[in-house]
Amino acid sequence: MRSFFISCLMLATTSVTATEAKKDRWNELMKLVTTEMKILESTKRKGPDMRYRMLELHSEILKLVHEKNNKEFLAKSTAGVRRPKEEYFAETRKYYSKTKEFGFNFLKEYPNTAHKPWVFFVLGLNSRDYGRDNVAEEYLLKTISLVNDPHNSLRHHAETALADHYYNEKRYKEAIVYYERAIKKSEDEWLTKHLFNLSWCYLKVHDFDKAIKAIQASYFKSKDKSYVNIRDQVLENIGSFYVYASRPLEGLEFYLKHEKDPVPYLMPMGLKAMDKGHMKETDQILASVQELINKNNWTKYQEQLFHTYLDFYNHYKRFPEHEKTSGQLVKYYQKAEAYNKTADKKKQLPVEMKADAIEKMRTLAGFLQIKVAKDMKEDSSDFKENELNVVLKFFEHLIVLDDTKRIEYYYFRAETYYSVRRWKDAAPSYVEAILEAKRVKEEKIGRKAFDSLLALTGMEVLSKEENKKFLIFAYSEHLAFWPRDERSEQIYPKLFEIYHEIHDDQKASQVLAVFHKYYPEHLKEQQKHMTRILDFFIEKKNTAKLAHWIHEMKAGFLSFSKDTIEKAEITLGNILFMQYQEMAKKGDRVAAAKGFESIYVHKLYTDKVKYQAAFFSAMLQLEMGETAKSYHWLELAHARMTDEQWQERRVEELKLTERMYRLQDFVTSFNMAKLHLKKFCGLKDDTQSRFFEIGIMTALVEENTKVAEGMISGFKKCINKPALVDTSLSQIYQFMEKQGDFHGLRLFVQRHPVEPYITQYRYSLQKWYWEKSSLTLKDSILTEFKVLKNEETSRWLVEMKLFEQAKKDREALESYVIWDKPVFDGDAYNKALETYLLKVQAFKNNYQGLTSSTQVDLAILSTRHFSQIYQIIGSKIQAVRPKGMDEATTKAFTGAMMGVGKEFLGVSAQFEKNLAKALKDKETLTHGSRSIASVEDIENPVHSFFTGVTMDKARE
Amino acid sequence: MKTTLLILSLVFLASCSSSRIERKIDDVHWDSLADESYLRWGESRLEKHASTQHPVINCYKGKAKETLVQYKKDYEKLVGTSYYWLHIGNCYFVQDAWSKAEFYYRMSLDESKNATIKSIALNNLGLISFKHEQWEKGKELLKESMKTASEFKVPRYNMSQLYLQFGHYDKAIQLLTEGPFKNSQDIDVYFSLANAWLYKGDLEMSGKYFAQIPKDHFRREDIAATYALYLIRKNDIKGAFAIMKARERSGVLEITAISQKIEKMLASRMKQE
Repeated sequence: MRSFFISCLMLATTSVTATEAKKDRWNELMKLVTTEMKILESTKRKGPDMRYRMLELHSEILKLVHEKNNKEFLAKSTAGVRRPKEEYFAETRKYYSKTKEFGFNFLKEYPNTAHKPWVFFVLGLNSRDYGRDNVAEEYLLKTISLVNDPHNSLRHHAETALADHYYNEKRYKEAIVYYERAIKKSEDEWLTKHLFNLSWCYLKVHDFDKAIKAIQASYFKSKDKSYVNIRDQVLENIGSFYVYASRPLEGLEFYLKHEKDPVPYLMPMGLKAMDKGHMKETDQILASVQELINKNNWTKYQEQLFHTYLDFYNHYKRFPEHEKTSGQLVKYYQKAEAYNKTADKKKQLPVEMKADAIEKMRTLAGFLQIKVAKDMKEDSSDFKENELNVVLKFFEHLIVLDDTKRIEYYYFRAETYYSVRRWKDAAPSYVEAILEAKRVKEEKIGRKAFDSLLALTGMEVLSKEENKKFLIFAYSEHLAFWPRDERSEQIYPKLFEIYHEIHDDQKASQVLAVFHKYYPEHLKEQQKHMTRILDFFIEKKNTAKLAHWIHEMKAGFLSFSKDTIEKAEITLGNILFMQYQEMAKKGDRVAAAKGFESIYVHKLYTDKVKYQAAFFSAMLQLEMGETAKSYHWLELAHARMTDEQWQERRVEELKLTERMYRLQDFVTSFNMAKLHLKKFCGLKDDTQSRFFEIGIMTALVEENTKVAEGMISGFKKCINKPALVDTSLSQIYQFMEKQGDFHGLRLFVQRHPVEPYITQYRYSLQKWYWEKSSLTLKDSILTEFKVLKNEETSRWLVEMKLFEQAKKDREALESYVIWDKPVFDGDAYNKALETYLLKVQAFKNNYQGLTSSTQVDLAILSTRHFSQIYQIIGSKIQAVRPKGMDEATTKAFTGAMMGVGKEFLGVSAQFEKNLAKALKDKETLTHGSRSIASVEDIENPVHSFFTGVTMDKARE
Repeated sequence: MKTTLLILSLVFLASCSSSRIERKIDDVHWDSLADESYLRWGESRLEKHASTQHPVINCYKGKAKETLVQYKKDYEKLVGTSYYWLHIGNCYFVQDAWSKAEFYYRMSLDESKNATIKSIALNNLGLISFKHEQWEKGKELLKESMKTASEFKVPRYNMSQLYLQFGHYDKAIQLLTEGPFKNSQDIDVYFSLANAWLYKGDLEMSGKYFAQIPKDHFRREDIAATYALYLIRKNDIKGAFAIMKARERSGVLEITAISQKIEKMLASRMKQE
């Protein structure tokens, strides 16, 4: 027992700070002792007292040396250095011999010294503690014999030292003799220790009653402050004493009665009782502990108690209870984990024994697993269901408790199921093991689990569906674990087949993608598999899926050729469009268009499909007369087309363009034409020429000559019929002329100063000059005629001026008074008449040429002028009545004038006759002919309102 | 308030001015062209017969835009029918959209092999030419129209109006009295004949035709003005004055100017008397 104290002391010095302090203390002591020793040694005359002191100093030095050697021994042992122990203590032994020799020399020198019993006592203690000469007993007995007084303290010390010696030497009976003497000395403060040691001696000699009495005495004496308190040691051991005495419940009672918190002592006592076979009592002890914990909320002991229970149940093979307690312990650790995260220290629970708990459960689970498997192997009906359940529960606890080895528990659990042929449970357990292996990247157990699961799926012990599910799992995870691996290479096609069979294209293709990634050398095989997927979708008309995969293939999936992708796209288009085309055929164009539009907006489809959908929608919209919508969809189609695709559609688009204007949308038709001319300018073919024609035509229908001309200048290089340019220019010219657009026509001719426009322009202006009433326009035309500097327009200008002069001269002739004298004078009258007729002659000579002008309007108007003026002249001459003439003369004069006037009237009539004939014969429809028709000098009202009557139908 | 009224009246006058004489006839018995044209159908006639007639009738009812949209929508259904392009042209014609009207008349001409349709298209194209004062071209188109379907009255009537304008009275009289017009009763035909005879100088014949026009129609400004000239020639100044006074103003600038000249002349003559 004393060695126990020493060990504790030694252990207590292991911490760094303690070691430092100890070292300082040791040096200090050594220094003090050696200093004193040197002083004493340097003394020449050394008496017995001094010698005895020196013996004491040697003993102190011996103690320090031993201390040093022991420290070194412990340090080296801990560090794993293997050397015979004795080598570490050579210095101790040496100094022991030196000290012993010094003692004997001292006794030799002073054989009768009063220090003699003390010298033997010191030598005895030194021999007991540091020597190997086994003379401690001898020297201590010598001491006792030298001190006769039984109350002498040296004798008491020697006796207790001898008792301790016997105790250490396991010579309990001899020790009892000396301890029994020692405990009689009630003033010894170490009485409690002697009682304690004595109790052990009684125990060792199986005198349990005395042992319990002695230890109880030690316990109670420890409460007395006169003695050294060894209560803790007593409490730690007294339980065992009761157990050894087969009275464990008395021990329990003792603790409960005398200790406020006996839990730390009850649990070891329980274990001791358990060891000694007191199962029932142990149960009672542990139950009491639990009661105390519960009562006092001593959660700090709960972990240890659970462990004690585990040991207890394990000891008596009470496995179900062990499992149950394990479950409680798992919950405890879960709770502790949660509490220990909080800052509330009061709530925190001890978890120091968690690793131990794991080990306990693990060991037991392992043991039971083997047992179950063994039982099953021997006889399948022999394994115990409850044992299996316990094993499985242990794995469940361990899965929760020990995350570092969770994968093992998953795997073991699966293996346990497998071993007892519970396939349905084994499979998901392997799945869990595999998933865990994946999580913690544990390949070794992972592979084992894969092997087992694959073996299981190969045994056909599960339902077909279940089997497939686990097979898929095993394959998929295997590929995820080992994407390039001998077995994986075989698995890819197998897994593909499974997915393909259940029509899970997404996963099947994923398999192919990974297969391709890790085995690019198998590309052909992979493509072949993918084609099977596509074929399936084609067969099922699953357009969404088909579109998806075309997208993927276009993005490079499995490196399919352009041709293959193209074929797939065409097939997709055919399937997609078929239903809406049917719909349109049946007359539901709105729905059909919507269908196409839905294809267009669908994210899945490729550009080609989208453009086709948009194109079909455009066509349908057009069929419904929705030109703007149609164009919108065409634009969307164009945005998705390649140039080649657009080019292929040109003829169709030409038809659409034609349909646009047929549907009254000239602007859109024009835009289409322009778009195509621009886009495919370089083609210069019939289609381009037709677009050109449409462009010009639609611009003119919209009365936009500027745009029409722009079309010519912009796109004449894009057509294959150069004559179209002239035709178009001619159309523009005619349009402007028709519109009476003087300024437009003038600029056009300036831009295109070529025939036939130059000539046509002159005649257009001439026609307008006579027809239009605007004086500003007439002035502009006259100015333009001057600017043109053309022989014909110059002549027309002269005639026009002449005609204006003729109108003035006619007025003069009309207002001319031939004779207004108060008295008639024949000669004078004749002269006056001659003068007038000469004026008429001059008028005729000056203006008669106008009646045959190439300007038809001028010729008609001039002729009418001449007719009218001769009419007026004739009438004027016939109406002359001179004043102052007698009746006979008047009669003769009037007759003569009537004749003269008649001549003129006849000419006038002839002019009219000729004019009427000419107009009638030629059905002349010029301004001139219209303007001469009048009644009372007022033009015919029909001139002003003629609009004609449109026709709508025939008589039905 | 006065200013507002003045503005309103000016606006009203401005909005009244037109380039066309309103020649609607409600009594079908006075419309010998009724079987060939909706143009002179009065409102009640249009309304009454709309459902049994061609959809183009709606364009004459002021719904040209809507009707054209409907033609667009009915393209597939109607494009093969005889009148499709023609009627689209007429709807544009009603809106004075001459270029578009011409375009569709030409479509009709190009795509139809039916003589009736061609004749109608030619007649209408002739009118477009007249709109552009292309008299000769218009005359040729009308001639072609008449030649293609000689039984039609409208092209003959239109041609007669052309002749009247340009002083070919005999031809106009011939067109309006022979062939399909024999024994036909029509206000505008009577008026045209009265006009032609008046300008030819035959007051008797002119008077004969004026007498056949129902009295109500003398309020039409063109008829009133022409009849006033007739009465002036007959020296019935007061009668001419009364006719002019009772006329309904057309708002057509040219006819208004003629009416004003006549009124001025009448005022002068009445003073003399």
